[in-house]
Amino acid sequence: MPRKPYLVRQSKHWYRENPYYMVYMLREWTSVPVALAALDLFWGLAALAGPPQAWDRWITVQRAPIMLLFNLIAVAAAGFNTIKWFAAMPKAIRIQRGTRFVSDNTLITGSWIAFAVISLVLLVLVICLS
Amino acid sequence: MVDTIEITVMRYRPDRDDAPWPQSFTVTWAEDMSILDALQLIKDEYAPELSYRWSCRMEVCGSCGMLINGIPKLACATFVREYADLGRIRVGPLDQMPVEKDLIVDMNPFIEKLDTVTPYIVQPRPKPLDEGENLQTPTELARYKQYTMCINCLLCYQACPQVGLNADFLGPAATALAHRYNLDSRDEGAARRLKVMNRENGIWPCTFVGYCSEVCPKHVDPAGAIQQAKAQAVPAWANSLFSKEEA
Repeated sequence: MPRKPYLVRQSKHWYRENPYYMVYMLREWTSVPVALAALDLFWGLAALAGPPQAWDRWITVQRAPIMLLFNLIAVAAAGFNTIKWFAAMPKAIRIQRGTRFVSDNTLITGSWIAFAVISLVLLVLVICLS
Repeated sequence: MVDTIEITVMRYRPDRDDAPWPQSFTVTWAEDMSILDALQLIKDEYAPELSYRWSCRMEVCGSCGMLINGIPKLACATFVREYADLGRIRVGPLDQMPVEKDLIVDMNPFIEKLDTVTPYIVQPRPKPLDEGENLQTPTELARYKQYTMCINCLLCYQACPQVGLNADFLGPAATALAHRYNLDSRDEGAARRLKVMNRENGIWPCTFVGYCSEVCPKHVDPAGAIQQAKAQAVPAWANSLFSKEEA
């Protein structure tokens, strides 16, 4: 009997068919508000280097309620992305000690501590320099 | 009281069917009945032509990978009782691969991918037998042991949406096996493997969905292997820019 293999094409909506994929897509989509927030900050930096009116305009735009909401969404997106990437990080980084490996929990906790320390140092620098 | 459950099996008979179609059976089940046992019952009692792969019945051979209610699982390690409350079970083939008949898929695309990564120890100048064994410490063994547990069940390929988008993607299990040999202290074939892994359809289509590791019945963690391989592949590519050998 001749072979007649049947090829199934993956659904265009595959990411809706499994909660795991939905969380993955959400993780990936967080890059959009974070990228837009980064562009907004670049605009702020350019405004800072420009004439005073440019800086005033940027500040006025930032005070608009829609921008406040947008920045809140960007912070939440960055937070969610950080949680997911720190959770996934032990897969990419394995630290071997003899015949065992440093546990996932240790690596994830260490990442959060490093994140907190770096954030605190940056905050102190900003306060001291301002 | 007799417990029954409806099991729907995707059928595809290449000599008669143009496409897979669902066939439902009402099966009397017991606490210790696996999905594989249920399929055997269906084959014995209702559909003698039903085709599926199986061998060890104990999560070792990797033959009975299937989609069970949409999740890639081994039929021998999944029990009917897990679906008792739901009242129905839908069993289908791992259809990221071409479906040959009923629940049987063509594994050749995977075997061909596996072959490209030289899945064995490479030693350009093997030590003569009279010089003794290639010794390895427990620490050196621990470095790659996890990746030796792969049973080629292909659940990871079914779980990977990037395989569905690009059938040529090297994929999780082949990369995990390549990584296993790259980490082996006796092996000298990493450069050859990383060359293949650095190709467009090597490891780079992976976007770290991570579901391959989630469904792996042997906890091989192919998603981790791919991310670690990426970290090895970048310096290998950079070195190749300054090397006379082709990247």
